[in-house]
Amino acid sequence: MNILRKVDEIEIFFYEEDATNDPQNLRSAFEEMLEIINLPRVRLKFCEVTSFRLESLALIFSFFKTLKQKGITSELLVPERLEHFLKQFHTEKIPDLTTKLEHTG
Amino acid sequence: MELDSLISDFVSEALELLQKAETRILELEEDYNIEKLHSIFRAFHTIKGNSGMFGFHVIQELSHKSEEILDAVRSGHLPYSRELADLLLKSIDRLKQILADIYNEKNYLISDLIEEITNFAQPSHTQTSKEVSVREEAPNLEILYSEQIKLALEKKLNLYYYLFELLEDSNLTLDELENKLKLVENEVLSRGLDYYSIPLIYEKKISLPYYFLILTQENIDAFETKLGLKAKQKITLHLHTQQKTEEKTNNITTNQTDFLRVKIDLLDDLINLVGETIITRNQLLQRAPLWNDPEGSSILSRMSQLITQLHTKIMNTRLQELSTVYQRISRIVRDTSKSLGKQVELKLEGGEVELDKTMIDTILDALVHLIRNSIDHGIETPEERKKLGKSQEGLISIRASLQTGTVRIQIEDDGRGLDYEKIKLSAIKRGLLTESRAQEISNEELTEFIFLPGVSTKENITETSGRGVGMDAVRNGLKKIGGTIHLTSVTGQGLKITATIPQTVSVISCLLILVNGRRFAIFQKYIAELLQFEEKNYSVINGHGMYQLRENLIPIIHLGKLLYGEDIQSKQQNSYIVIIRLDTYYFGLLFDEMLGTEEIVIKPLGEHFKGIKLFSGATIMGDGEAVLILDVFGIADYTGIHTIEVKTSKEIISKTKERGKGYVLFESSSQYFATLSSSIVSIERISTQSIYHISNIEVIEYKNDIVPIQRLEEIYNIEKQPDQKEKFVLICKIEERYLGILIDKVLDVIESLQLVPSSQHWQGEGILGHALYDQKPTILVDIEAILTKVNHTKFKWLGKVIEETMSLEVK
Amino acid sequence: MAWQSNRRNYVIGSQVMEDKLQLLIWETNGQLYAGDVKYCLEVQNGKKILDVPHSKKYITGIVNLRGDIVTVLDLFVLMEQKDLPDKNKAVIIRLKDNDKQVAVMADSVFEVIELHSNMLESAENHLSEKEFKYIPYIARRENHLILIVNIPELFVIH
Repeated sequence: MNILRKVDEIEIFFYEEDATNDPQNLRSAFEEMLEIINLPRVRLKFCEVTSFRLESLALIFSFFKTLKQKGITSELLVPERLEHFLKQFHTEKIPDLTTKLEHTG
Repeated sequence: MELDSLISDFVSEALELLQKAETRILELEEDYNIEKLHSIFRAFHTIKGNSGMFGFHVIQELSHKSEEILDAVRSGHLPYSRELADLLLKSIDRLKQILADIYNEKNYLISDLIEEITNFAQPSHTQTSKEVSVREEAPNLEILYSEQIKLALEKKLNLYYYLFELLEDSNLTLDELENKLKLVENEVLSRGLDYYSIPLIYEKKISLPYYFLILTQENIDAFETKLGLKAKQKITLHLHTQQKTEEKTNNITTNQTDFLRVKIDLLDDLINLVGETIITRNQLLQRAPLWNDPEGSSILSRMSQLITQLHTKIMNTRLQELSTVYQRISRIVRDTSKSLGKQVELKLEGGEVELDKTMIDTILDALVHLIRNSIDHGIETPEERKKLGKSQEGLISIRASLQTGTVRIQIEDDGRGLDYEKIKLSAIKRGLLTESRAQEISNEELTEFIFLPGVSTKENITETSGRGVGMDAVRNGLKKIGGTIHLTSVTGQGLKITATIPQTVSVISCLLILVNGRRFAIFQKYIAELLQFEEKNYSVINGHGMYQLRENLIPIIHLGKLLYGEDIQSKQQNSYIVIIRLDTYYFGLLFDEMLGTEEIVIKPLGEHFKGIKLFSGATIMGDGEAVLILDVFGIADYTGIHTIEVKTSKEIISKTKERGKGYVLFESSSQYFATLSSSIVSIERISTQSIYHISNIEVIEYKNDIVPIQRLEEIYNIEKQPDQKEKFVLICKIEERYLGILIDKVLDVIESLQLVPSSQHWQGEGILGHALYDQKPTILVDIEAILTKVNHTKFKWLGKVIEETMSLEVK
Repeated sequence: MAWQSNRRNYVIGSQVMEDKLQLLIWETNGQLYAGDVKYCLEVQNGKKILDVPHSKKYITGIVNLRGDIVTVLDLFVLMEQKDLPDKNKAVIIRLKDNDKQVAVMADSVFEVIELHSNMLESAENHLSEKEFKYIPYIARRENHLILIVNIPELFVIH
C-alpha cells in the first residue's frame, strides 16, 4: 500500500499484493496506519486489483469501522467489474462509508 | 408526514430512555449495581442504533462514545466514579438538548464532549477497547426491524435474523453464496454485511459477518438446513405460534404492554367535553323540579351520578406519579449542593402519590424553588455544621401523602431555620410592621411575611435565590391550582414546609353570591362561616370596617364597594357576611344575597385580565351566563387586610383585673363611659330636683350626708345635654368621704371589656382606655382617680362650708 | 404600514393582503365596518356580556361563546370615540388570530363581500391617529363608506 497525504484527506493505494497476501500482514499494516492517520477522511483505492481474498476485504471493512470510531469517514473506490461483488455486501447500509465505482481498468 | 411522526416517536422514546438512564446514574452513586450499569449501557446503545436509522449521526456518535465508556466500566477497565457520572450526565444533557431541536441535529457540535470523554479514559483506553467485542451485543433488532415485525405479524409468519460467518467455509465464494440464496430467495427480506458485528482492527480477528433477515413459515432450523450454511447466530424476532422468546426482553423499557400512549391533546379534549357535559347536567338538574316527572327525575339522578363518575375517571387519566418530579429533584439537589459547596442527603417518600398532570408542573416549579432555597439559605456549610454539632451532611426530606382528594407534601430540612429577628427587621424596614406590633407578634404570624414579595433575609442576592420574589410566586402558583402553603420553623434546627394541593382541579365546589345584582363565586374551601349581617355588630375603627363575631373583631370588606365603588350607606338591610379563613387569619366579605352552592368548572380569564388580582377565573352557569370567581387571596392582598392590627382575643387590662370584677357602663350626654364596679359603693337614682347647689357645687343628700357630685361633661368638655327628670349618681368613697359622679343613665353591668386602639384626642384625666359597647365608642374611666383629684381641688373648701352649715343647723 | 405604488402590497398588521379580499361587513352606530373573514370565527346573537370590575376601559367584559370565556373589546373606546355601542343589544363577532381570541360588538352583521385591494384608500387623512391605528383603510361601495378594521391590532395587549 502507499499513502498519499492531501490537505484534508489521506489516499491509500491498495494493490493486488495487498489483496492477496497473508491477511495478518495486512492487519498489521492497517494497525500501523491507524496510529498515523489524523485527517478527517480516508480514501482507499483499488489499483489494478484483479483478484483478492475475502479476508482482505474483511480487514478493509474492519479498518473502516475502526476509522469510524475515531471520527474519520472513509471512501472505497473499486473498479467497475467488482461492482456486482460489492453489491452483495450492501455497503450502502454501512454508516459513513461511501463506495464509489471507478471507471478504470 | 409519516416521517415526522416516526421522528417524533424516536425523540420521545429517546428522551424516556435518557431520563431513566439519568435516574440510574444517580442511583449508582449511592449503590453500585451491575444490573443498573447494564441498563444505562443499553439505553445509550438503543439510542445509538435508532438514531443511526434516521441518519442522526451526531446523536449516534455521542451515544456511541457514552456507550463505549460504559463498556469499559462493564469490562472492569475503568472504575465507576463521580467524575464519570458527571461526564455521563453531561452527555445526557447534551443529547436532550439535541433531541429537543431534532431538525437541527446536524448543526450541533459535540467535539468538546467527545474529547472530554476520550481524555477521561486513560491513554490505554484505546487498547482496552479491543476487548470490546461489539458482536456480543446485538443491535436492537426489534426497533431496527419493527416494520418487518409488523409484516410478520400481519402475514402470520416467523421473522428471523440469521447471522453467519462468510470466512468460515474457506471454500465458499460469493458466487456459490449467490446460488444458495437463489434457493431461498422469496424468504429473504434483506441481507448484507452485518456492520455491527464487524470486529475492529485491534481485535485481531478477521471476520466477514453476513446476515439474512428471513420471513418464513418454517422453523429456523429447517431453514438452516435448506440453506446449507451454518449460522453463527439465530435471533427470533417474531414467532407466529409461540409467545415472544427471551431474546426480546433485551429491552430497557418494562411493562410496555400495560400502558398505552395517548396524545395529551386528546385527553384535554375529553376533559373539555366532560366539563361541558357537567354544565349541561347542571342545567338539567335546575329544570328537573319543574317537570313533575318522578321517573324522569330518577333517571336524571342516575345519569348525574354516572357523569360524576365519568368525570372522576377522566380526570384520573391525567394523573401522574410524583416520582417524575422526584427524579428531577434528585438531580437538582445534586447539582445545587455541589455548586454551593454543601453536602446534602435527600430522602424522598410518597413517589407513588398521583397528581393531575397540569399540577405536576406547578408543583415541580414550587419544589425546585423551595429546595434551592433550602440548600442555599437553610443548610449550613459542612464546617459550620460541624461547629454546631450537627452532622456534616444536611438532610432534606420530602414526604408526600394523599388524604381524601388532597395531596400533602412536606419538605423538611435540618438547617438554620428562619431567623425571626431578621424577618421582623426586614418587615419594619419596609413599613409592613410597626415597632409596637413587632413586639407582640408571634412567630407564626411572622412567617406570613415571608410570602410577601420583596421580603428577603438574605443580604446578597445569589444566583440561586435570595431575590425576595420567590416565596410569593410559589404561593401564588399553588393558589392558582387551589393549593396552600404553610411554614413552621425552629431557629437553628430547621424549616418545615407543608403544601397541600387538591388532587384534581377543574370542578370545584363554590358558594354563589350576589353583589350589586351580579353573581360571583367563592371557593367553598376557604369559607369558615356564613352569617347574616347585623348592624349592631359593625363599626369602623381607624378607618377599617370591623365586625364583632363572638369575642373577635374581624375586618370586613364590603364587596359592593370594592368591586363597584358603592357607598356603604346605600346597602340594603338584609346583607350577609362570609367569613374567609386563610391560613392564619380571618376576614369577612359583605355581600347582598346568598344564592346557594354549586359545583363549577373553572375557566381561565385570559391575558387581558392578567393584572387583576381580585378574580381567579370565570365559570359558566347553567343558564349560559358567565360568572366571575373571586380570588380571596387576591382580595386580601389588594386590600392589605392582613396588615390590619386587630386584637383577636379577649383583652383585659391586668391592673383592673386585680381590683375586682366587672364594669359599669353608663351614659352622660350621649357619651358612653365605663368604670370598674369595684370603684362604686352604690348607684342612686335621684330626681333632678333633689340636686342642691352650694355656690357652684352640686350636692345631694345621701345617707344623711351631703355628697358633692361631679359631672363628667365638665371634666372632658362634653357639651351638656338638658337634664332629664331622673338621673343617677355613682357613689364612691374617697378618703373617708362620699363623693359622686352624676350620670344620665346606667346602661349595663358587664364582666369584661375589650379595648381598642385609641385615637389621640381622647387622652385625659382618669382615662384608662377606649372600648366599644354596642358599636359605640366607650371611654373607660377611673372615677376614683377623678374624684380624688376633684376632692383636692374643687371640693376642698366645701368641707369647711358643710361643717359650718351643719353646725348652724344643729344650733 | 407599507404600500408601494407599483405592486400594490397592502399590509394590514403584519400580513400582506392578497389582491382580492373577503370581508365581513357589520354596522355599529350607523357606520359600516369590515374585517378580513379569515379572522372571523362566528357571530352570535343575544349573548349577555358580563362586565369585569377593575378591568381596563376598553374591555367591555367577558362572554360565554360555546363554552369558552372570551374577552369582549370595545373598539370605540380603543379609538377614543364618544359614541359607544349598547352592550346589551350587541351582536357579538368572535375573532381569532392563531390561538388568541377576542370578540367585538356590533349592532348588526350583514354579509361577506369581496373587494379588490385596489378599491382601498388609506384612511390616514380622514381619521384621527387613534382611529387610524385600528382602521387603516376605507372603501367605497355603492355610495356607502366602509371602514376596514385592522383585526390583528385588536389582539395586541396594552
